[in-house]
Amino acid sequence: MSKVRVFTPENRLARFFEDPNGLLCAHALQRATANLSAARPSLLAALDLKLEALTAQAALPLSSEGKTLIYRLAEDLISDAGAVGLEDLSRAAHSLCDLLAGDERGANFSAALHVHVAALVALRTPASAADRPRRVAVLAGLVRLSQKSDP
Amino acid sequence: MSALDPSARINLRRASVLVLDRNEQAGDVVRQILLGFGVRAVHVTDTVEDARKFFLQQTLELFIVDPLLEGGFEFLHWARRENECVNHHMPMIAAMGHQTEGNVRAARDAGANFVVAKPLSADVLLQRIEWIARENRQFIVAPNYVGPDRRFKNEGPPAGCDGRRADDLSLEAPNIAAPNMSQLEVDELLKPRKVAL
Repeated sequence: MSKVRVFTPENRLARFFEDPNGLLCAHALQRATANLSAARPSLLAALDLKLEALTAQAALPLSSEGKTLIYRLAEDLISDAGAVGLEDLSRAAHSLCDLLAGDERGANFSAALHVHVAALVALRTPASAADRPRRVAVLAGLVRLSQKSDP
Repeated sequence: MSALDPSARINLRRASVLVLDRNEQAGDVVRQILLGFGVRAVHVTDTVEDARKFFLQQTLELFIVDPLLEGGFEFLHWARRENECVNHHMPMIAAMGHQTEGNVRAARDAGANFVVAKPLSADVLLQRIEWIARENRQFIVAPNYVGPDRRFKNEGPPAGCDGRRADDLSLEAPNIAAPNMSQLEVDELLKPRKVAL
């Protein structure tokens, strides 16, 4: 039988909690939220650049490298869009990652990819922000596509 | 998992946190959140090489990594096995955008304490940090795995086997040593009472 060592190491993080001179958790959360609000303009600018890059890459004939690049950009968008409160855009990017990580042999894969990219662009527009039912319908359609790109 | 107690206090001023993320904006989000929590030493890097240097040179309290960057899972795996370094037991959180079951399993098996889904929110990150700070999880060093105990539930040995450990309990109920206690006796045992002095 292989040798297994089990022990409880020192948790250096523990000493920072329950300090009576520390920040209230509620206050810490407020400060973090304020910091994120201040960073919002630069995060939005970066998000738009990545969306542009993703759209341009998707317009090219799909190669293995291109697919990897689109996956990375979509993965970035999951985080970046969510950080600025664009949750639907974040979910659409997640659906695109699912699509790219899945089986791409289906004849519908390329169409599903382009639908995702078009949806990402549409979800970023101000008009989309005001139309909640349409966003919900778009997301439901994307999820169906990414789960079933085979014919 | 319990919600965060807003009246609890934290003092992370002297904590040192390493953040490894390929995505500059995601690294910045984590930095802004941690600065809000009062952490002064937030080291954000986007390369495994930089993270490795930092890991070996600084004493850290927390490591937040997106393991989906190239070499990310391998870095976690390496960090847990770097026995000569003071940081190899430290809490490690894997934060990833595309958290498929395979990715989550890979992060867990590489030795991450926790996997959190991006986009990260301040609330969730503080909850997880608090949870890790308060937990008393054992650390396992085995030929195929080094990291915090991956078992969150102890459901005993698999059905039909007696278990391999000396402290595994038998599935057979022991002989009755005394008659069942009445509900009143149980209540008497558990109910707190004032002590008359």
